[in-house]
Amino acid sequence: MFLEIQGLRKIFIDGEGNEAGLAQLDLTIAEGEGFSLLGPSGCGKTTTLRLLGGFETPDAGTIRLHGKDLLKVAPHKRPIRTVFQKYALFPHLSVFENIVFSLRMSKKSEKEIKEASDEILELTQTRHLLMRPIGMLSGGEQQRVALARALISDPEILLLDEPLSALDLKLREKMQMELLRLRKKLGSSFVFVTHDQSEAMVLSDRIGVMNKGRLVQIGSPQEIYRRPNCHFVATFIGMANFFGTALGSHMRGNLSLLPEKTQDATWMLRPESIDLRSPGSAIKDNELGVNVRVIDTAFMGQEWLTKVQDPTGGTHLIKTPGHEPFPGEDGTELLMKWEYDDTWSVRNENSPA
Amino acid sequence: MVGAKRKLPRLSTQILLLPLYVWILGFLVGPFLILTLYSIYTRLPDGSTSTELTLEAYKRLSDPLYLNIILRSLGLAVANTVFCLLLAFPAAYYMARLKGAWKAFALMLVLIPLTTSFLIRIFAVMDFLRLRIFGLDWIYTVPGILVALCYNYLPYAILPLYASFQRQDPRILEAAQDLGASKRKLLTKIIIPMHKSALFSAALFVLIPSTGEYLVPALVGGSRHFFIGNFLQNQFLTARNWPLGSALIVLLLLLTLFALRQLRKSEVLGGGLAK
Repeated sequence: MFLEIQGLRKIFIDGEGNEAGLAQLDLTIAEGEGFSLLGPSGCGKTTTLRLLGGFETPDAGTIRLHGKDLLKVAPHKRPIRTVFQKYALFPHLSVFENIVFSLRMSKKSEKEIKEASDEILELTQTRHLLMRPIGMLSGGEQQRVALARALISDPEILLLDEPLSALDLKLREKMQMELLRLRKKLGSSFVFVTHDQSEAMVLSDRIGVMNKGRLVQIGSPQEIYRRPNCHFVATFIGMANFFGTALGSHMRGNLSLLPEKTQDATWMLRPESIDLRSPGSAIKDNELGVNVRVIDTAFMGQEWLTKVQDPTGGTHLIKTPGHEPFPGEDGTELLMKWEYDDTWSVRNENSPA
Repeated sequence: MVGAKRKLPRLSTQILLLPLYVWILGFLVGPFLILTLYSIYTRLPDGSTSTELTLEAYKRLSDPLYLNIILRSLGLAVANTVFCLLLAFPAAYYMARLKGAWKAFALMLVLIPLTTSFLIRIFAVMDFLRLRIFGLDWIYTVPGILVALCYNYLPYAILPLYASFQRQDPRILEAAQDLGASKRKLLTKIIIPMHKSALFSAALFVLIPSTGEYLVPALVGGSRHFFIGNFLQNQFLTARNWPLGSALIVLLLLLTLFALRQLRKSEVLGGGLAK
């Protein structure tokens, strides 16, 4: 196993006197993998990153890299590099000296520094920035320099703390692609920490969703999105609609064909899985339907976002393609229908699996 | 600022600045001009001066006896500055990293001596020096003077460094460590260069006033050790040689200004963005 984390724990008391940090973490990450720790602020994801980087000492647990105990290795000797949230570039050094800092620290020869920097400047497209003072770089440029600085010594693992949060939307989309390209090219494992679910889905092979200091679910972006294991994951990753057995009596279709659901669970539907039709329209054998009333509609360009209310009072958000006609004025009665396969049952609490 | 043109402040600003102008003209430029005049007046045998102009006082300053006093004073001030910086650097660094009440407490410890009378502080140090620590004579010796100076000037070195460390982004230190910097490299490659202008201010705050220090050498040194301060007091009040004393002050001021200009040029201040 490449990176193996077992029973990792680090609890501290936050400003309000509450316990925060990491309660318990077991996780393995493969070589070259892109892994995201995703969760709301205070869920322990940043603590995990700081433990990996060696900036904090755990209360308990082990971290092994290639089977070797990483906790016994001094932070400055770990084959791990970090890209900090606000980049933490050295303001008193030139862009070039920032980038080659780690090589200077390991006393590489000028020739080696030249070669390594040529390669990384090319790869991260930072050559044109060399002459500029750090204070004159834009957010995106600082990001590139921070990446170049972290990647120049070819780390086995790159930790990225909210790497794109400081960038505007356009730049963020561009940098996401850059990060994917760099990871494939270099073969290092990238561990992202983020609270942005779309960022996590684009960047990683697997996502670990965290809440209250624990991992709640690990899986591929598709699994996490389509098959969340609890209410928390379902709502944290995108929009979700829920309904229970109470809706059954108003429904067309056979409830027993839905995924099995225990007492403390509820059925979940993603907004884009639902179609809106005029009431009384036919439904197929693999579909369920229920009449609902429109509460609100919004045009989002690519799609319509419609808020509807079902007969039991529950509200649902529905995304229908933007090229379809206006779903209906507020109060219009419509049929919402979806396929059995798009329904998933999720536990109500967010306790670990 | 890059390319920003300096403009004269607006009239309303000028009016608000008036007290400052009066202060600088009245208490700095004026007295200095008077001293400059005195330094080229002629001393009469009875200790008074005539307005006949002469460079006699400056000629006398080149006497090895006086040069020796100047050099000794500079040496003492430099030594004091070095010791103050060595003590203040770690103290300020850890103070800036303390949390909440501890930080306020540490800051209070540094500031309290400044609120007490200079004389009381010196007498307190003198009592301390009489303890014959390590079985050595401290009182009335040059090392004793140095200890007393260092004690008195330490806050002036700690405060600018503390203010600078306070602004240090801890992520930058972590980033350096992350990139393979050992503790020693962290200090020499990151912390010291990042705070060099604060180090420079701290050095000036100690060096300049301690060059002309009078009370500490006079009291802690007894009457055995002669430095610029005692020499000036002597010339103005005892020997009644105002031109000689004035000439020394003018010389010191010119030296200080020259040194500052050189330092500024040699990029000690112009770190980072100014390049």
